[in-house]
Amino acid sequence: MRKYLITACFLLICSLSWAQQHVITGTIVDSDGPLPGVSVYQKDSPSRGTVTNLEGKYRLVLDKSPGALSFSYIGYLSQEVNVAGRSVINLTMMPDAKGLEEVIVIGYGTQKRITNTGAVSSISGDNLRQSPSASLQNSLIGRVPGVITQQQSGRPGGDGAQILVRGLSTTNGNGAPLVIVDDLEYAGNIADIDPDQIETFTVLKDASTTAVYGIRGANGVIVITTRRGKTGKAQITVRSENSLQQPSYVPEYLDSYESALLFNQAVNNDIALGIAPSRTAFSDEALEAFKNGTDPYRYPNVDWTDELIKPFSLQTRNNINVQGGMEKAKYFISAGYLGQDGLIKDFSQNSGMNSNYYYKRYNFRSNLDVQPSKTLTLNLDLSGNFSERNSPNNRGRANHDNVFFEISDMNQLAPWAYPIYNPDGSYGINPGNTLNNIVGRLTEYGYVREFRNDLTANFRATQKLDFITQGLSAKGVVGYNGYGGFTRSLTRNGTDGSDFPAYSYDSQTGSYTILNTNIYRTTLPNLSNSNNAGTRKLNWQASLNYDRTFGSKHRIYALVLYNYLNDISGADVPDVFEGYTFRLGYDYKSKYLLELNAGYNGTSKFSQAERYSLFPAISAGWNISEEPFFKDNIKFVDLLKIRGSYGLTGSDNLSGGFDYVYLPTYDRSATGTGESTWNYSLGDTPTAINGIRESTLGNIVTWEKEIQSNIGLELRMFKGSLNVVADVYSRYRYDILQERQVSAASGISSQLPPANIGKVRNRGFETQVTYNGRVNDLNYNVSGNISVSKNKRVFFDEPLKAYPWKTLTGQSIGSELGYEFLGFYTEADIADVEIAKPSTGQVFAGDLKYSDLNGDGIINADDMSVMPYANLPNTILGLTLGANYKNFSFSITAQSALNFSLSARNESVVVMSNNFREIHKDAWTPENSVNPSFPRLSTVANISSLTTLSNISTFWSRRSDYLRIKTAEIAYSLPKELVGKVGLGSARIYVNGYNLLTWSLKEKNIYDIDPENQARSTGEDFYPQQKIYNLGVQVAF
Amino acid sequence: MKNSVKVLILFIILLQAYSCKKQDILDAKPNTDLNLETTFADSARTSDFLFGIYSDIALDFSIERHYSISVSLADATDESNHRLGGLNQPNTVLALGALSPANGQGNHPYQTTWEKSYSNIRAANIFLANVDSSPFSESLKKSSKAEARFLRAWYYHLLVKGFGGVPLVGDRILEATDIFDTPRGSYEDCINYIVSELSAIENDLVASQNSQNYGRITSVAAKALKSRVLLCAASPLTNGGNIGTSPEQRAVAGYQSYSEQRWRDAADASKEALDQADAYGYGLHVKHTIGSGSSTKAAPGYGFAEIYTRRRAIGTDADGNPLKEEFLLPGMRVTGGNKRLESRFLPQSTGTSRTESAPSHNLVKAFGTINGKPTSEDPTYDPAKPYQNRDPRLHYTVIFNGTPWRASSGSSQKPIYTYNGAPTDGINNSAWFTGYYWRKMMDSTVNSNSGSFQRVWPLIRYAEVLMNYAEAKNEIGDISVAYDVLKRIRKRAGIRAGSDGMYGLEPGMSKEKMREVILNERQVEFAFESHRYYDVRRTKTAIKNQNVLMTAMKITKSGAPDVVKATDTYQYNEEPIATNGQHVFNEQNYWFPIRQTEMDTNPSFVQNPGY
Repeated sequence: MRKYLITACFLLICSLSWAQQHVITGTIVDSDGPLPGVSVYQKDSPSRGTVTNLEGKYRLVLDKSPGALSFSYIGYLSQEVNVAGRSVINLTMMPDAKGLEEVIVIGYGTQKRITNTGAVSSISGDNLRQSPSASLQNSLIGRVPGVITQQQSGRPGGDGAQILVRGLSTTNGNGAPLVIVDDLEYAGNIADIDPDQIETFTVLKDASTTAVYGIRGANGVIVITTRRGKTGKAQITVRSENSLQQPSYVPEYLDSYESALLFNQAVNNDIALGIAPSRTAFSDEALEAFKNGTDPYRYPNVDWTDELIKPFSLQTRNNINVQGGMEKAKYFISAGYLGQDGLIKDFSQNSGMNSNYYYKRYNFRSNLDVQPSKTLTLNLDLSGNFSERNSPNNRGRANHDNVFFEISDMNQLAPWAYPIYNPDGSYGINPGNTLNNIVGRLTEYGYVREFRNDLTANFRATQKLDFITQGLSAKGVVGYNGYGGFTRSLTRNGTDGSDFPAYSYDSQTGSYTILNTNIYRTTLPNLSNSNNAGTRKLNWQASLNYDRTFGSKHRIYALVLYNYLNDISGADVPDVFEGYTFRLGYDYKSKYLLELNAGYNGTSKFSQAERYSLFPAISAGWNISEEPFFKDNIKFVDLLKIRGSYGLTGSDNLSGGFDYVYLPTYDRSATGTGESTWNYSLGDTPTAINGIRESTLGNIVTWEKEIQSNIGLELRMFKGSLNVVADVYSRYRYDILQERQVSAASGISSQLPPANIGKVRNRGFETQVTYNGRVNDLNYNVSGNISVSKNKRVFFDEPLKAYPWKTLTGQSIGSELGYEFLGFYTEADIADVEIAKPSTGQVFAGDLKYSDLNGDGIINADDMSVMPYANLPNTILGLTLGANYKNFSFSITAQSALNFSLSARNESVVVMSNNFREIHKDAWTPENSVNPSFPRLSTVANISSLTTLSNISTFWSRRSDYLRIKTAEIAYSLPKELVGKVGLGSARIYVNGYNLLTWSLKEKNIYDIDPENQARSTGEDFYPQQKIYNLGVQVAF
Repeated sequence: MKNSVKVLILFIILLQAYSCKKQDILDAKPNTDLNLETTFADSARTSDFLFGIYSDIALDFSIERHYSISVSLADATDESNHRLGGLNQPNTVLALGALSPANGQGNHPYQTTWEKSYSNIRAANIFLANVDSSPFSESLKKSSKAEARFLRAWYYHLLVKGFGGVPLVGDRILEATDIFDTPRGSYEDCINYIVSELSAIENDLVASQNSQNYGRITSVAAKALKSRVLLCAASPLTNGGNIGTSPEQRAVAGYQSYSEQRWRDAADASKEALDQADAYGYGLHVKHTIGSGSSTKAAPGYGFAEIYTRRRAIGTDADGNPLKEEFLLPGMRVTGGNKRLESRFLPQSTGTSRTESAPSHNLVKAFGTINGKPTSEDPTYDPAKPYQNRDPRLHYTVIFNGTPWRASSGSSQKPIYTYNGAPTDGINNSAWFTGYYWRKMMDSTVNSNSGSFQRVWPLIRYAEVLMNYAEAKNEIGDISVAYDVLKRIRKRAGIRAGSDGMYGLEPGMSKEKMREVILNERQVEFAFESHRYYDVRRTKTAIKNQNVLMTAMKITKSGAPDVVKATDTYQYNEEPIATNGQHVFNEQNYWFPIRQTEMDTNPSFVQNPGY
């Protein structure tokens, strides 16, 4: 409490002061003519500022002793002009070919690009807004080198990609980077940040840039800054977008006739081989009826994808923002709405219990900047979002309660499952079905609706302390960030999934039989509610900043920062973090650069002895292009910089149960009479005793550490037209917390706390090449990037394996064991005793043949070896093309992910479990034995079926590389004269899209699902990834 | 300027405010205050820690095993078959000889014994290392240490029975960072360790606990366990019949060669245990009537059934003599656990029950007649009335066609019908049904819905030590002792003495013949008490008697299937049990394998022979 009061006083005490005024005007031009948008401000009092209008003119009111005026514009060199009694200052701005003025965001501050020595990549808010995806991170894909993403789902409100900076280098936690929004750690989902609010999105990748975050920096850091107000008239921008969403891969299954043929093929295969089939074949009569559709009630043929899924669903996004300000106060206010509709048809729209998937999100932000005195700036930022995520209370199969899974499920929703409606309009059903009619369920069973509110308040004060020494300033930050939520569920009573009547109709007798004789009418719906654990993060920061150039040669800058974070989530033990950050930099004429960064951090997750540590990093750079010998001789090169960094970072982002592992705990069995508790009972008359036992042992452990080294090169040529940035890095993560593998005879195998034992090496490189060109009125740019990150488990406590090929040490994280697919058994193979066969179950021609690695003539778990690819791509390629011609602009981004595998499970191609797909038509048969796409169809599980995970092989787990048109945009800005007539500042119409086209290794994608899908999902969370086609209008007043 | 100075001062104060709280800002506030220090600083918690070690004492007992791993050791022998017949079910793995080091956690019936025993051995060591600092009185420290050492020896005995020689960790308490590379101890070392521990604590324990402490270890229990362990060590599998092939395997799988002294040691230990038990009021509970007062009815051998349906023998018998306490080591159940048997084993017509397993006809055949003869040798046995004139223990062990039991509602008893076609309980109703249900340790006045009594598990019975004594004495040629013991057991069982007073025993049996009679008597007396599994192994007879076709009794009734009339006639046919009828025993199954993951994590481990 004391802290709050002090800070409040600190901010209130500063009084406002006003002085006399002086007016100055002028016109700013460049070589092509008037330059609008140049910012002009009084150097000593930056709050007295404005921007030039469309004609390049400005008018500014100055105070009595104006000193110098500062003129700046992105891409141009800044200039300062002494006012000295003048009332008109006209100026010609010179392009900044060397990028001298370009500023990038780094941890707790900014840095000029030319003097930066760390590995940083960034993307502007404008570029992010070119993608219509609902989740922010999906818009970076392919555009930011060093970022590896995987979008595993398309579910409204859950379609954000997993995001990793320079790949994965830990086996503990998810490896997610730290997200900082305006100096504060962000508690919510990055996907929920509205791109409309973003000024810059920066990824800090190496030790020199992340060491300041110390214990939290090892996974990389994403720093987002939000847009702020600018001096001038209120500028209102309204943006409205309407999009169509469509699954990138539509789940398609064969019709009843074709499915039944394959079904019978499976049954007949079994019979021919003397195996007892688990199913009975369809009769010829049934086949005939399926083919001709003569009796749709007895022999239905339903295309469930068609019946249940809309071809398109809608997405709407609207934003309004207002920015402007006066000398002493500026503001940026934004409000946004996002609505994402689900793919299910609107069965329940009229019942008042909308059960379709949808996501609604309202975002707002209000950034206020106040300058109470010449030297003091206050920022008050309030932002938040309120979201609502809906999904049907489908009440499908346990663990697979998902409409999309059910569509794939032959046992519930085969094309012949049941007619949706009977002739009398009642719901149809087949008495054999365990689940009721799916349309009925989607109509009647209500919804699960998750509400969530995120709120962030961020209060900052910056005081210049030039009176102590030139270039010194102090800053204080108080931030609150938290969320809370609840879930509301509306459904019908009961649990047996039959709370509305459904009838099986006998087309021959015309009689109806009800599914459940106890349910003759739909039961009443009831509501329930559960509260989700919320989070509250409180963050305090105080810092001193120093930046001064002596004699225009020696620049020294420094930062000292104290940071305290208290993170409370639900009933968990609060997570407290405390840290000091230090930065000291020096450059000589922007030529020789040296920077030291360090974080000294502590976290409550570890014991007192292991709580604090120093995470230092050093970086240096040499701007060769600033050397006279270079500058004078190689004129077409504007900038050539070599830089390197080396340092230590840490990560306390641990898996859930790993906090406070230094505390040994004992447990007491629960009171009661449970069967497996440690209760005992003594005495002639029983007296229950709740025993006490040792629980997890204590272990003095510490955070993960990572040594990172990075060497980079920056090159800028032909007056800024060609830009190259390349980085090579090595990351070595050690002390990764893992549970040891100890024999149970130790008595502690199940009680072991994790120990700092894991080691992972992650090496890679990334390059970005950008070219900006111009032909007459056509401006164009091309930008390509490559990110490669290869990780390897150097050490983890792996028990000795019987065979070397089963060893996961030395393999990449996420590698799995599987059989090596050789082909299909032939009759000759089966007869040949020399050819290895599975140890269990019978094997026949047409089954998958695997290699017998240990040569014992038996295929069993000993022959499973590490498969070549993990589920995470190690290479991402991106290419962006952009152009603008007069009022038209165009951009397109293609992205490709390489070297990863996908092995689906349910919702896929498992015979007799999933519905038949096109690929099953090309299954092995004696006639189709040369290079079939699929093994022998059978009704019983065998070595060739993917029914159990123990059958995984390189046949099922396949390389899944893809190339995608991730985003594309065409925009037209209406002529200024035209829009001016109707009173608008500007107007722009655009169409853009997301995930527009995908090329995957077609013959490899046997599952016919999006290649980014999560491997081995049980199908519970499956929701097809979406393509988005979007039309947008942006109007500014 | 002035303002700026003020601001600066405030800023410094602000920094101060942050830094002065630094001290314990990061100290975690754990959610529990229970740990080593707080446990042993409090006498109630210290004893609760000890009872934590007690609580797994019955982990190997059949009924307990049904809870953790869906297998009882009965279902792994010719006694019964479990209702779950899948090939990966732990009971099936055992019964079909499919044990392998690669069995997963779920179908690894012996892994629980391995893990839980060792975690309790560790707990005992923690207790022993810390109890001295607890506020216990000196005498309580002494006795509770002895109890902890008994429990440690008890868990080792469970391990050694199943696995042979196992790692002996002594008093060592591993830290989280320690490397565990202790190899398996030899079989001999393990037996010596258990025996020396038991001998060392005898004098620190009372022989009989008072009313409040009933259930805590006694010196009688320690002596009885010693009798069991020494008998096991002297038995053929380890005493000369070692199946190990390499020197390392031979060391863990038994003694190198036969020694008769081991039988002597077993006999002496059993005698010692019996003598002390006799001196403190333990003994066989003999009673041949049921009911009290005017409703007293003759019930030969009822004492055999009654011991299971009470918590402790208190009071006097009809003749005014104090009741004999038969359980030398009771496994104490909490009140709510008392419906375990009824809710898991009774037929489904009696109330809510899962009917986990069903006894086989093989077991029924092991029971002789009321004259103590095998059915084949007794002319009073009528195959058309197979349950008449049988050993009374059969009636107290299984439910067969017509056994009356408390009905699911009301308090009256109704017959349970198992004939083919009988509603609910008929043999046709499920594949694993055998025509019998378990009744051992249950009473026909109680079902899973109503009625109750207190019970404890018979972990060591007086009868067992008697039988141990008989067996050991027989092996050293003192066959008359075996006769005496068997007569005592059979007399209590309600078997008729016969004109020769031999209770059906053939006079003048050889040692070998007597050995078979003893094994059969153990099967009958201890059915469902987790002895058979180990008896057929230690005597090395499993390869003969466990490669067996398991049979059911299919009864065909005349007349309508759902109505029973006095005039109905029954036909009895022995048929193989439909699911997993053929049990398989391979030579390596004399021992459990060490699980592969254990082998991987401790390369010094030697695998058991044959795996």
